[in-house]
This record gives sequence, C-alpha cells and structure tokens, in this order.
Amino acid sequence: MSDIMWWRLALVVALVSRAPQQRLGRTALMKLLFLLSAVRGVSLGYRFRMYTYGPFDAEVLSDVDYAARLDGILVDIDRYPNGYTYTIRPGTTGDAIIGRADEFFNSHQDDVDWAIERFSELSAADLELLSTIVYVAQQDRVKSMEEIVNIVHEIKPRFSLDQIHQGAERLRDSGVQVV
Amino acid sequence: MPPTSGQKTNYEFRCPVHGFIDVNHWERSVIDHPVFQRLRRIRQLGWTDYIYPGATHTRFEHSIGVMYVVSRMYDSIMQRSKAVLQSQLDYDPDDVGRLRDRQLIRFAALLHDVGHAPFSHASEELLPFHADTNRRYAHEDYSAAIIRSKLGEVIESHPANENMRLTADDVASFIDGTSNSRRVLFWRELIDGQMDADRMDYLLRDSYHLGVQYGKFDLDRIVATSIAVEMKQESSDSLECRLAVAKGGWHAAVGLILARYFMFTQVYFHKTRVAYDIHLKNALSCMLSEGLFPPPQGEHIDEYLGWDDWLVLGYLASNGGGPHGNRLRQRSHFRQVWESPESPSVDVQNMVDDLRGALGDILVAEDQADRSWYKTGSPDILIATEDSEEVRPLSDYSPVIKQLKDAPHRQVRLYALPERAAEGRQIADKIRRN
Repeated sequence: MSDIMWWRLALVVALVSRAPQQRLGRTALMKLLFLLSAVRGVSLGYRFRMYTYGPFDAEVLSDVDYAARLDGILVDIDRYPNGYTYTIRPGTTGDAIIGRADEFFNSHQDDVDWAIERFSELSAADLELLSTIVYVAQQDRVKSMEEIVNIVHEIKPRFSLDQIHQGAERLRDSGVQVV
Repeated sequence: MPPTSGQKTNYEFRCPVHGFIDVNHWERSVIDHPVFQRLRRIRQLGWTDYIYPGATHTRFEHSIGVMYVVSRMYDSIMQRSKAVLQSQLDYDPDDVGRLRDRQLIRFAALLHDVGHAPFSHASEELLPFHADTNRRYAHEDYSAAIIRSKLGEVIESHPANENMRLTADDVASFIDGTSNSRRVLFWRELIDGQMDADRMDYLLRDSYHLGVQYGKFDLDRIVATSIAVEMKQESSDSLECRLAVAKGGWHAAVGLILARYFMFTQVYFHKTRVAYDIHLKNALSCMLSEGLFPPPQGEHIDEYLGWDDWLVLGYLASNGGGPHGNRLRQRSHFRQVWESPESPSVDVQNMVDDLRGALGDILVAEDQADRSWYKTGSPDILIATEDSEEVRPLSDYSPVIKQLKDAPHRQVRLYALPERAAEGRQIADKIRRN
C-alpha cells in the first residue's frame, strides 16, 4: 500500500483518537478532512465536491471502511427517525497505523493540532456550515462576504443569514481567511 | 419520452443497450459540435480490447446513454416525490423550472465526459496539477472548461433557449460542482453520486460490449424506485433532501452494487488490463510535452482537444511511445507476480512491504484497487420509506452488502517484466510461505 494511503488512514485514526471523548461522527470527520484540505492544504488526494449536505468525497467513506477493516477504528451506527449516523471510536490497531505515517505527522502535526483544537468540539451541523462557507469562499467567482453569505443561504436555507455571518466570524477567529 | 425544448422530437439514436434514444434539435446541435464528435475517437475502456476484444466502444455512445438514463431517473423522482421536492426544493406542481432543470440535467449528462483524455481513464494520471491547489486536474475540470469556452454559442443561442435562458456556465457548474443552486446540488447526485446514471450506463454498456454478464442489474426497477427523501441530519433537527431508493426496491439496489463489484473485480481491475494501463500511460507520457497534457485554460484547450485516440495510435504506428510503446505494439506486457486478497489485513499489508524488498529490481510496477478510476466505492445507498420516516443504509437490509462494506476492495498487484516473472513468482511464493 502506498504511503498516501497509510497517511489517509492514519489521519482518520488520529482525528478520532484526539476528538473529545474519543468519539467522532462520520459527518464531522468528513468536514474536518475537508477543512484540512481546503484551508491547510492537507489534501491527500481527496477531491471534495459540494452537495446539498456540504463538501463531500466518497473516498473518505471508503477509507473509513478500510480503517475499520484494519481495526484502526470502530464504527457504530445510530438509527433515529428520518435518518441515521455513524459514530467512530478508536480501535485496537490505531497506534500501529499511525506508526506507519511518521513522515506525514512530522510535516503535518501542527495541521492536525489546528483541526482538533479549533473544530473538533463543534457539532456536525456547525462543521457543515463552516465547511460550506469555506467551499463557497474558495470559488473564483465569489468576491464579497455578502455574496458568500447569500450563496451559503441559498445552498443551505436552514441556516439563517445571522448564523452564516456568525460562522464566517468564527472562521476568521480561527485564522481562516474567508474573503 | 417527450423532448424538453418545446420542439418535437426529430432525431433518434439506436443504442445497443437502451434501444432508441430521442434527442431534440437543441441537443442534436450540441452532439454535432466537433467537441462532442471527438468522443467518437475516445474509447470507453482504453486498451481493454486486448483482454476483452469487444471493448471497442467509445465515450460517444456512453454520453448519450447517460443522458437517457438520467432523464428516466429525473422523471421518475419528479413523479414519485412531489411533496418532498416541493417542501425541500420549492418545486410547484406546474413549475416551469422543472422543464428547464430537466434540460439542464440532460445537457450535463450529455457533456460530462467531453473533457476525457485519449483512452479515457488510462491517461488521467497525465493531467497536470492545479497551480493553486497542488491537486491534479480531473477530466471533469476539462469538461467544464471546454463547455465554458467552446459550447457557449451552441447552448445559449439556440432558439429553444429563448425561454429557458440556459448558459454554458450553468451546465459547466453542474458538472464541476461549483453551482450555487440548491436544486442543482441535489440533482447532480444523478451524475456524480452513489447511484448515478453515469455508473448505471457504463456497467450495462461495458457488459454488453465485452460480452460479460457481470454488470447487469435491474435498471427499470432502480428507476421506478428512485425517490427524493427528507433525511434528518446528525446533531440537527433540520431535514435535507437526499436521493434514495424506496424500500421496495432495495433488492434492485443490491443488484446494482453487486454489478459494480463484479465489474471491478473481473474487468476494471483485471490484472492484464491494469498492466496495459501502465504501458499506455507511460507511452503517452513520452508523446507529451514535459510528459503531461496541457492545463484546461485559455489557448491550451484547443491543444488538449487535439489529443484523441487517433493521434495517439498514429504516434504508436510510427514507433512512438518509447519502450512502453514497444510493449503495446508487441503485446509484451508486464506480468503479475503476486496479488493480495481483495481486502488485505494488516498482516498482508506488512507482507507487501517484505515482498517489495525481496523482489528488488524485479518489481517494475504495482497497482492497488483504491487508486483505480473505477473504484467500487461505498456500497451504502440510502433506502427509505416514501414518507421519509425510515431512512437507513442498504447494508442495514442486506448482509451481502454489509459484508462488502466491512471488507472494502483494496487489492494490491505486483508486476515484473515478462522475462523475470517466473523468478518473481518464486520469490513471492517463498515470502508467502514464510
């Protein structure tokens, strides 16, 4: 397996291990990986595209499945009316997987710290909003904050204009250049 | 199926998979454009005909097939999911925007592959990196750039567009995911999602041309049971509009996922097909300036569009393509010396490291399933009741799909020169026994 695959798996394991209570929802994981890619340039070959549920790359799901296959993480499904979610916890081989990515963590430990410290305590809904703001802000055609807020509201009307403004502020406070 | 431009249907294509496919005047003018006609000279499956001789079909017929499948799905979902589409995407029953959106989706499906390089995915690793993001361009980026720069006139100036006012940018942003329209972001799952029309068409089409049964599934049932549902989001009370299969169709969804699995293992990740992809990529690299295709920008687009299978075959016929060109001409492809189980454990992955070391310079190439352009992907299609009260992953219903999800395909293949293959296999056997 190539280095980049170990790096991807190790990053998944590391984010889960360092999340609050060592638990991370799959949506939150997807959005943290997006923010690492879009803001910090830690792309690892992922190609996120926008859907109604925010930036998404199916390869992340495949990596989650394989990390679970290697016992690096444990994935449980929680069902509720109108939907379901996955909760991810550390597995038994997490350290061994992380150990295969020394080179990656030597270069990107500060990026992982950044993602965990700034965003890991946020809910999946908050992360979905922030990642959508970042995605929209990075489109070439978008120029102003008002434009960004309006586009995000069009994509995600369940967030009010105020909530979107607050999300943009939160990103700015975290050192993310929105405009 | 009625045309969408307000004109009567004037043209039909006889498709070997779907039968007659109707196109309207507007679509016909796009199909007639040299940018689309180029797809007649881009094979769907690269060099696969050296393994499956029937694999000589092109992106041209596939693109028309995707337009057909996506239209059927759109019509079915519109019919079955009126309430959800009204509450989530503001579609009124007689919303004229429905016709416009249908035409937009048909154009996006028709044009989603116009950016393919010669021999399709085999050459995709020769696309350059984006200067800002340091990520390699994908063929969708080329499709979008080509639509914006070359197809504006034919899309925007057609008389049928007088009321719809579609732009080339509408179509391009549908494809490259830069649209700001909530409706588009929902519908683009039909072209680039877990159960998209692109995959549905190529599974059936590739099976037909290759003469295999692996990719067949019940398209009619999938179409008839495709719905829009309201799914509750994690940590939020709000509902999102998602594409799903109605509960009654979950067995058909299993058939689709199994078709993907079988086609991947038996065709797309076939050991010799993978070897020819390696040779084709390296031969092409010798033909290109600095070993890469030009970027999808400005004047480079014309240069890029000049690259098609005919041009590459011309170079190969003139003894071009370097050592890998020779291998293609002489059918002297790399030989597989070892393959892992489909879903290798940690121990097997460790053994791959040992094998690499033991094989040394005998190992000339390797490939792994997760790097393939035809990934099996996550098998979890959404299955839902029509009232959206129950939305669950397919793996909740099907133990077969659960098993596929729990053991994702990550096979590793190692290759040697033909003359050193026996030696390589002996070494691999020794390592395996230890």
